[in-house]
Formats: sequence, C-alpha cells, structure tokens
Amino acid sequence: MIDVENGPKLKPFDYVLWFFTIMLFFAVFMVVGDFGNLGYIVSSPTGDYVQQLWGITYFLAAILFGVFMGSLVYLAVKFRAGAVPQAVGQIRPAQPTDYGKVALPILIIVGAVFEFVMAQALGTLGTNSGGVYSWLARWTWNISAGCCIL
Amino acid sequence: MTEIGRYAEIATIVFAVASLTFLGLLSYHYYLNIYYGTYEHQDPTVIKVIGKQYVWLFQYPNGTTVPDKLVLQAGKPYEILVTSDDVIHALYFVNLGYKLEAIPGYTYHMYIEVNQPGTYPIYCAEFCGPGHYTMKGILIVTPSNSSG
Repeated sequence: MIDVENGPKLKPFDYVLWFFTIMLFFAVFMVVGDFGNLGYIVSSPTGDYVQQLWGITYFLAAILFGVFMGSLVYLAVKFRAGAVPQAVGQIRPAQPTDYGKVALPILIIVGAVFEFVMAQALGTLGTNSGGVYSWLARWTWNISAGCCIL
Repeated sequence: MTEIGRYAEIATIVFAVASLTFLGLLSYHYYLNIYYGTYEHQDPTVIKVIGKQYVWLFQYPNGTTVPDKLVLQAGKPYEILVTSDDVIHALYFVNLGYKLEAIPGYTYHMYIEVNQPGTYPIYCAEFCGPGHYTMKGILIVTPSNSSG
C-alpha cells in the first residue's frame, strides 16, 4: 500500500530541491511584477498608501505563488508517472480532521477584527465613556460564546 | 493526515488570516486618512469638481470654473468635492492610484496632496455614454514656489 508511511520517501537533498523550486517561483513572480513597485505613482500621501498596500499584497502573493506553484511543479515532476511503483492493496481510509483546531483561531481572529473595526466606526474606542473597557467586556463575551458554539 | 500535515494546514490558515487581517486594518487606516484627511490643521483649499457628459468642471474658491484642467500647488493640501450633473462618472487620478465616484445628487470628498510637480492625466473611470472615452482632463501640479 502506498501512503505517507509506506510510499517513497523524500531524501534531504529532495527537500533542498523542493525549497529551491519554491524560491525560484517566488523570485520569478517578484521580478515579473517589478518587486511590487508601481512606477507610475507620483509622490503624494495617497500614492504612498497605494504603493505600500500594493507592495505588501504583492509580496504576500509572491509567497503564496512560490509555495503552491513551486510545490505543484516539484512534486508533479518528482512523482511523475513511472517514477514511483504502482499502488497495490487496499487504500486506508482517511483520518477525520479535527475542525475545532482550525475553527477556533479563525473565530477568535475574525471576531477581534470585526469588534475592532466596529469600535473604530462607531467611535467608541478610547472615549471617556469607558469605550476600551466595554470593548474588552464584549470581547470576553464573544470568546465565551465562541467556545460554547464549538 | 499526519500530525505534521495537520499543523501545516492550521499554520497556513492562521498565516493567511493574519496577513489579510493586517492588510485590512492597514487599508482601513489609510482609507480614514484619505476620507477624513490628515491636513485639517493646514486648512486645505476646497475645489469643487462637477462631472458632465463629457467634461470635468473644476470650480476654484474664487469662483473660476475651468473645464478639464485642474491646477494644484505641490506640497499643498486640497479638499476635492465631487458630484455629477447628469449620469454617474468617476474621477480617476491614475498617477495617484485613486478614483472617486461622481453621482448626481451626492457630493463626495477626498483630500489630495501631490508632492511632485508635473502634468498628469485625469480620466472618467465609469462608462457614462458614447463619448465616455473623450472625457479626459489634466492635472497640473506646479512647483511650490510659484502661484497655483
């Protein structure tokens, strides 16, 4: 049976090649996009905002592209047809994923962002009416509610 | 899935959420700066912009109305009030990376400051009729030591 435990193993040099492929795709993406530089933007506060946001977004996109495309290409070549022995025997059923471990951090982060943005929009954060404390109180309630839902 | 694979999956999701959260908060902060301005203490000059098929009318504080030409002084803050006389337009300063909708009956405003003198194009970025492609203007930024 071919699976993670019994299938062909990657050697240390394979991991080096995998990492190199990822870095190669990352570099190509950055070069193609002029490293996230918008040459036509003139010097102004608004232009600087746009340039900075685009630069960060482009850098993150380059990481994403490098990881996914680099892995896709490397693994597709490494385990191309004929390069690995044919699978024999029965396939072991997949183990169930504990979605609680995935959902909890997402719930907390998304809740924090929504609360913060709403507090900013309503102008309640940092005012004399106990804005920070009411914000923290709502937060405590949100985390408790999130745990109950889970 | 192995234990390492599971941690990798969770780390990927958390990294993505953290990145998008950071970008969202930074964008919101910049949006507030653009919309509410950071130049209030400098008393920005107010310029009204009216979109009409197919011309941009710029009204200066002294009452002068100039079609398709906006003249600003470098390094000086301005408040742009944008509206439309007929259909929906969009005032697009390409080189500032910013555009603003011009909608009949509504007035939107933005703060603008350009530090680099030069001549830059202005476009209508909302299809407004058969002559939409002719609705262009120019933004002239003069050096700060000359009269704007």
